[in-house]
Amino acid sequence: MSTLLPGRSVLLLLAVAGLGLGALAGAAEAATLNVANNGVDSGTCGAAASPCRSISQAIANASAGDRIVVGPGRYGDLDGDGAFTSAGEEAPSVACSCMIKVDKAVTIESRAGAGATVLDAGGLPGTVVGILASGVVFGRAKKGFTLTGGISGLVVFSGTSGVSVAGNLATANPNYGFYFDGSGHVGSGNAAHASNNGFYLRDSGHTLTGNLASGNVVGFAFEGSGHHLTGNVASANSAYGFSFVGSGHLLSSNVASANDQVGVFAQAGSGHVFSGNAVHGNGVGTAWGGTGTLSKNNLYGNVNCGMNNQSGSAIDARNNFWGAATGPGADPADNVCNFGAGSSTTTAPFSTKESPVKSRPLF
Amino acid sequence: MKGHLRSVTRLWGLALLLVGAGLVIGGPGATAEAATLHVRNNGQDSGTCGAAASPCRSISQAIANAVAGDTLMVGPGRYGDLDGSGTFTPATGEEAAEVNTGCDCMFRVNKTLTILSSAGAGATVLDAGGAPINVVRTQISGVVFGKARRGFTLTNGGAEGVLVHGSTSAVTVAGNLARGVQNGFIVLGSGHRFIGNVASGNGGTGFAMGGSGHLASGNLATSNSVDGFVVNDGVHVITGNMTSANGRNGFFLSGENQLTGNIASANGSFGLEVLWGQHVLSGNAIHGNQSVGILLGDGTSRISAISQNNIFGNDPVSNCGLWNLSWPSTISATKNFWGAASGPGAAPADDVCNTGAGSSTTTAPPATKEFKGKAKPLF
Repeated sequence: MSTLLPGRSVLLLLAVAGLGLGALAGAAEAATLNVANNGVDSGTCGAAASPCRSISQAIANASAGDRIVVGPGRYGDLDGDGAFTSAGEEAPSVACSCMIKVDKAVTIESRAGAGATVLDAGGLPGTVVGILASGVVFGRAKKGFTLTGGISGLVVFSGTSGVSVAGNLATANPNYGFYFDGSGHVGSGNAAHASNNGFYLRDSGHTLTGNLASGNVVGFAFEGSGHHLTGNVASANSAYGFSFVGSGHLLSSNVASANDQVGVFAQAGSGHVFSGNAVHGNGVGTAWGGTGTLSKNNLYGNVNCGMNNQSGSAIDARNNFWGAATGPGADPADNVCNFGAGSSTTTAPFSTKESPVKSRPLF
Repeated sequence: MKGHLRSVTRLWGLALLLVGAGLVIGGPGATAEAATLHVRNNGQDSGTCGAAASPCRSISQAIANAVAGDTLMVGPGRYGDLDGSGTFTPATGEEAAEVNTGCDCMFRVNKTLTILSSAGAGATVLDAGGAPINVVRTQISGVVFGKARRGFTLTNGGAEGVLVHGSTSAVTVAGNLARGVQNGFIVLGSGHRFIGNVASGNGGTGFAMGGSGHLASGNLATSNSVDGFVVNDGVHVITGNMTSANGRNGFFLSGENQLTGNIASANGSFGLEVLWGQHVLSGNAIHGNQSVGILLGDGTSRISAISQNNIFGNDPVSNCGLWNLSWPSTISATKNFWGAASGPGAAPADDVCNTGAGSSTTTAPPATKEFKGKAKPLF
């Protein structure tokens, strides 16, 4: 672990010189540990010339602030015996019910991207990756991982903050693709397929940008408060594209298309801001059990109502484009439907032309 | 359809002038100015739809209204079986699918068109509603279907996401996502280009190609039930693709092909199985496949070269990075990196296994360090 040695050598020298280590530990040079399919696990593995075989071992050998770089290939239950006991296999943790426990503020990224770097829980009744420390960075654009074979793909646990998750693909995990508890996490450029919930947010203040949820039951689901979702795409999910409760969420520049039941479902709560989004080709475009404001959205091509207000309240939905210059109405425009006593929706003035939506496709 | 109408008006104006001058009009369509026709979820189908102010609702209708050389620009949303009834009613804006008849497809591209989405594959869904059909079938040469960040999601069809017919050449398919169909992309004919597509979670194979002279570059096949890529016939150039976590093989080869700079990882069986033929395998990375990294079947005696590949971390049971079943022949596999500077051997290196009378593999000199991968991740 040559890159690790300089920092530790300095510490040793300082210790010999009688200096207090406690005050200086935070200044240790960050190291890079390597993990590869030709690695061998040990308590000292991680140097470029002696990579670890498992990510779990590299995490055990790392210190907070270190970077772990993972080569292409497969990580998990390598021999498929369901036991995780053979050499080089990951070390599942009961504490997080996960295959790889990230309990230090480390950066973990792949060398060859998500398509080439597969974390396979092999049917483990838990999560592929569990993050229990604040400040973890897991993947980045073109440097992420495929997460598969778990109950969930990646879970960030409560009590954490400031975790970044980027460039990953979660596929075929029945419960959640990505699950964020805690506060202030950022998820960007990830994709989730074939889960009940592609992305699920709890607690407060998370940011999701440029993610794709396709082919799940629900694309993006969230509760808590103050989450910001910008430039995400939810498509071809069998129930909802976006579904949320709680308060004060901001959704801008997202696309909800071809979701079977509802494109965007504000199930409950208040103070939501929905602006600059595109909602097309869903069963219902947007449904509102909670309250908020809608503006500068494009809402058309949905089978039933472009907006279904069932909140029992007045909702401000001015300055949206409903598919025709004449505002909401019959096809080819979408209409506005109010259900229940007290439900009313203000749509005038409406936009007479489509608003630009700034969502950037993932590929 | 401003552009389209303008071009058509210009064309017939010219034709009338020529007729008036007593000239013979040969093929007016061949000289028409290319137009852009628009398709959107707030469109309405008609025999004249396609202008920006009056988009079509279905891609089928826009194709019918277009002429060769035109571009179709498709907005975000859903196209296909719009009401989820399992049937297609074109009068309501649904695609003019042919089920158990004709092309067996949701729509056919039978003109040399460029068909793009304005918002990318994630936002633009071609949904075959579970019918036993191909979502898209191209059956004329020169079609362009999607490009980077301008492709389509192809889903919910019982056959292929995209089928390129064997009578065609020079079709480009790029930037698309096939998910939840039987096979993602099947390419026949000659000289087609498949670039930057994703086939994920399909019931069969991600990409399959026959015919001759195709280019597949920068595609990703992942989590398909059978193989990532099936490559038959030749001479195809397969470069910079990734195939991972598929149920069986990453690549399954026959014929005569060039595989360079690809990554096959974590597939359920072989990283790369060569059934027969003569192939160049160079600069690839083969890692973490649950069975052997590269299997050379008994018809591979003419294989050209296996060099400059990274082959390690495969088959924790046999530890074979390469299993040579070809006979009676000697396969050249020099200058590959087997996971250790000392060459093939026990873990953490991968070994070379020869089976059958006369099978042998030359591995010396091996590479002593890993080659730098050239496959570029899609995201």
